[in-house]
Amino acid sequence: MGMTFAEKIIASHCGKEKVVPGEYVSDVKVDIITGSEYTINWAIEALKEYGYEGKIFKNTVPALDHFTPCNTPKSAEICSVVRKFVKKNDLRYLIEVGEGIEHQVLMEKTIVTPGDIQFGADSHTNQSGAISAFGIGAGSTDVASAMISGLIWLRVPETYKIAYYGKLQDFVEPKDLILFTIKKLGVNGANYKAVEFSGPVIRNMETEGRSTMCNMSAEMGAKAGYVPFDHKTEKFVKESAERFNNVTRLYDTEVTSRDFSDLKSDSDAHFSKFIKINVTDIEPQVAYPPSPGNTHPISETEKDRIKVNQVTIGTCTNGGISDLYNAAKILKKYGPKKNDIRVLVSPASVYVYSECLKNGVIQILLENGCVINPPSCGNCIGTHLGVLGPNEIEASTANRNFPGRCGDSTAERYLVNPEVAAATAIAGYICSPERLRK
Amino acid sequence: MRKMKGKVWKFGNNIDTDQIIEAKRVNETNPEKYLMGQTDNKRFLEYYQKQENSIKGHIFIAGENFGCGSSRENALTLMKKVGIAAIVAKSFARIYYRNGVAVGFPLVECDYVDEISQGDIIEIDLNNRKIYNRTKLQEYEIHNIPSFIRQILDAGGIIPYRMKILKGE
Repeated sequence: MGMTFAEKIIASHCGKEKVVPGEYVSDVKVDIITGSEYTINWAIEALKEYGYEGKIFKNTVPALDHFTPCNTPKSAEICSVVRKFVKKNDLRYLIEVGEGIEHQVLMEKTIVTPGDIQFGADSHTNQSGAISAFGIGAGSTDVASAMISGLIWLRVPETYKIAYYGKLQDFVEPKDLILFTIKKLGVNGANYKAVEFSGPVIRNMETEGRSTMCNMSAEMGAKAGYVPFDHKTEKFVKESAERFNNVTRLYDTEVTSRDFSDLKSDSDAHFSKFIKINVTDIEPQVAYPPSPGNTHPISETEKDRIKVNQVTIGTCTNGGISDLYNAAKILKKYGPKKNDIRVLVSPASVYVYSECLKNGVIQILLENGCVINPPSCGNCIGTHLGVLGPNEIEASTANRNFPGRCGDSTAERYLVNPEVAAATAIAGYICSPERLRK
Repeated sequence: MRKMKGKVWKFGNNIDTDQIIEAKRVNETNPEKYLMGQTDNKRFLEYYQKQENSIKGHIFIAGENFGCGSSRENALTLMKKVGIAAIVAKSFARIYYRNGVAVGFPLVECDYVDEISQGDIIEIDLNNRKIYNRTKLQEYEIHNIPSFIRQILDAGGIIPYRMKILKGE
């Protein structure tokens, strides 16, 4: 019997011919270690606590993205601790303040490449599955142990294959497909599992859309979510490597000359579940608080007439060029935004920001009343750059809506796609752009 | 491994890391003051904030998928800091479970948590894979901890485990 993508990657990183689901592997080599300023700071503290003073895995790439541009003197101090650590240990790269959100930048600059095992102190490390890497989220102490050894332990996961087919309706985006899937499987429906996104809809989807889906595979508990390597991934990786001149290169060979063709499950691999989803009847989805699994189709939500105080477009989940473009398209046609609503835009990286300046998207967003935030996680995690007051309501393209996540503990967040977010900013209540047409 | 005995605080399903401790409190000096503040059991925080030291040795009981959400380790290390003895749940979210192994904190999986009530006194015996309910005079089986995970826990966590190997011990 053949192996799944997950089994192949794990086997190739621990020197085994074959691994089987449920097996514990003690020494799996990682290719890249990532984390944010505060999770890496905790890792540094953990190493201090155990008295470790030896070498650090060079391919450790922290990102100063969570509390930046710094919201307090304390977070500024944490950033300088991380900067010093990077310098002292001569680490490969540091994602600086404003450069972008880790998950986006790592792919954009080919810091993470297809087939890599990425061990990240951030639960959305799964996002790099969009380019057929194996991104695994973990805590700081766990990550610290990898920083000293280059090794992690893993339980080989069972793999769920989810195939999407059919024709997408207007205003239905990758965000809706993943919200629909989380609802179908449950917020722990893929706990400990690898999730393979496949089928014709995924094959036609660009890397940005795949990123949204892989990112949110974390919201159903997945160890990793990924899309098998194909010509779209090849094109994305090649263009990214050329654009940034592969400056952050890890491998001796150019990423463009490496062979990734085996980064897919064998035709006779065993999937512990095979789920088919017909997208034809899927409407835009809205995840109500308090969980990304509490999802309703937009036609139901419109009846609830949920008025909002704030709309957020962007974040790591939906902060790509196409996401901002889609939102701007709605605002240009039906805008401006409603007077008493704040509309915040968080591009996922400075590259996205600058491309959206060039193609006029930022201009449209500004003319329609949006505030453009620097690339940062601040608004999503409720620390700065647009937090909510008591009893306020937000529609956001972020990935989480847990209680206390977006500011005051009585505030509420609804998760939507960028087009619905833009329509909501115009109408004042959560609705599909369809409502603006009539 | 040791036995743990303490008073029970009960929580529901899918208690996420923002309910355990909100992301925005990461850089605060004493975030543990807000531990479990956004969960379904409001009585806990009320009790804890009034009598700060009296939860040492207490045990949290929860349903499915405890600790889902963020990888933020403080959602676990704060439990250690305030002296919670163990967490028993029907299941744990993946990263939370890994974090427990990494820092050597006992996360116990048990199918019978619905039998245990708020305020019960229970004793967890990891070696014999049992929970004894001293209030209700019942006993429940707990899930096995795989031997590989035990090795890490016995080493005192994942960093000492790796350091031992690096030193060639």
